[in-house]
Amino acid sequence: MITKQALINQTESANGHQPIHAHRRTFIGGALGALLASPGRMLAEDTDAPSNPFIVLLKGVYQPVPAGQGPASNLGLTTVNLSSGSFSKTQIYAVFGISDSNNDDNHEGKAIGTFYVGAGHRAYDLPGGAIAMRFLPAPAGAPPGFNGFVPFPDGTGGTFLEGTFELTILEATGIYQAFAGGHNHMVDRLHQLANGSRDEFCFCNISQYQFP
Amino acid sequence: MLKTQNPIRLAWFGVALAAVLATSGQAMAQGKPAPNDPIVLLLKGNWVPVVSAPNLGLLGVNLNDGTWIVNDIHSVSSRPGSSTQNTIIGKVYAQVTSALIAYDLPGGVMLMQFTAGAWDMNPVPDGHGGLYYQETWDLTILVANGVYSEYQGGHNHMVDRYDSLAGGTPGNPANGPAYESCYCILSIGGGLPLWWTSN
Repeated sequence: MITKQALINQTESANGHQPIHAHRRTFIGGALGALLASPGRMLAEDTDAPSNPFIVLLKGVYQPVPAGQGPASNLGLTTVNLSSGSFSKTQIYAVFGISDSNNDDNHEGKAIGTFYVGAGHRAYDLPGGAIAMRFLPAPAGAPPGFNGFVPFPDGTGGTFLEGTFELTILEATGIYQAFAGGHNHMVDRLHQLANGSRDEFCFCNISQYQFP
Repeated sequence: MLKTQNPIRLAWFGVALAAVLATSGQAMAQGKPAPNDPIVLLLKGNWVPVVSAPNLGLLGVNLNDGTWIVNDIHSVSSRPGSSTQNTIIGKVYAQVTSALIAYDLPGGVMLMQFTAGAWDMNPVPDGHGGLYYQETWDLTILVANGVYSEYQGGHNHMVDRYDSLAGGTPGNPANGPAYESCYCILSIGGGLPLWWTSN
């Protein structure tokens, strides 16, 4: 962005040296098997290749994935075990640069995939492939909200948990293969309801390139 | 017809609908971003100095005073190849002498101020002789009017990839040409910012 120069200039003038980077995000910090794993999943060649980056929205109340009841063939992923009993899942919606061809006739919000979280890892079951990720560690001195949540009361007995998260992509299958080794920048507002359940609302900016 | 409970309505409602109205050249008289919905926008293109900008009606802002630069705002939608995907729906104006930035969108205008962020200290080669600067920025929405009035006091979280095409110091096209690619997640004020604590 361009006007950030002004922000930097302000910081420089205030401190007499280079800008402070307290908020900088350096802080912040088996395709076929996968295709066959989900019923109704389209073949990769029938699915548009995602843009780089692409954006998805994770939304919905998390449901546990009981031990032994993960997706068939583990989505073709080898770096996560989605049947370990430590994962929960919610839904994935297309936002930008990714096909929601399951919903070609309905732009209004059918989920395009399933998101799994647990054991420090993430997995995305998407049209045409799957992606596994793990969290990047927060560097020493990172501010609250970097790879961690900051709570805000929701006024009804629950809590909004907000933060950004940085993840590295461990493996990617199908049409997402080029994203292996890439990055996911998450902008998250997780709603912990008064009844203890968690309702996700999280944008994921997934790129082939690393993001500081 | 848009459904108010649609989780991806942000793409269609806040932006695509605006795009439709932009095409028609009419301001939104009906329909507006639903309460609590973040808007996702993409700032994309080459930054250039402002030559002749409209008066956006922002108090104290003169886009033609020689300190502003301009770029395009693109829609963000849910389907590649759809008619509203990646189409230009507005203009973004950034002032090189302040932390202000203005979005001129169909149906309303927003003025924001950068509150956090810094240039990537380790830019990477873009493969064409330039450098990618990749970072996030956080802004407070100072003014929002028209259909975006609920966003006043809200927040903008930017996920930025700035290509300094000739490797010049980022932040001002006077230092060399620059191609922007910046995703903006705009959330309303009133206690539900979609991150970040700079609010």
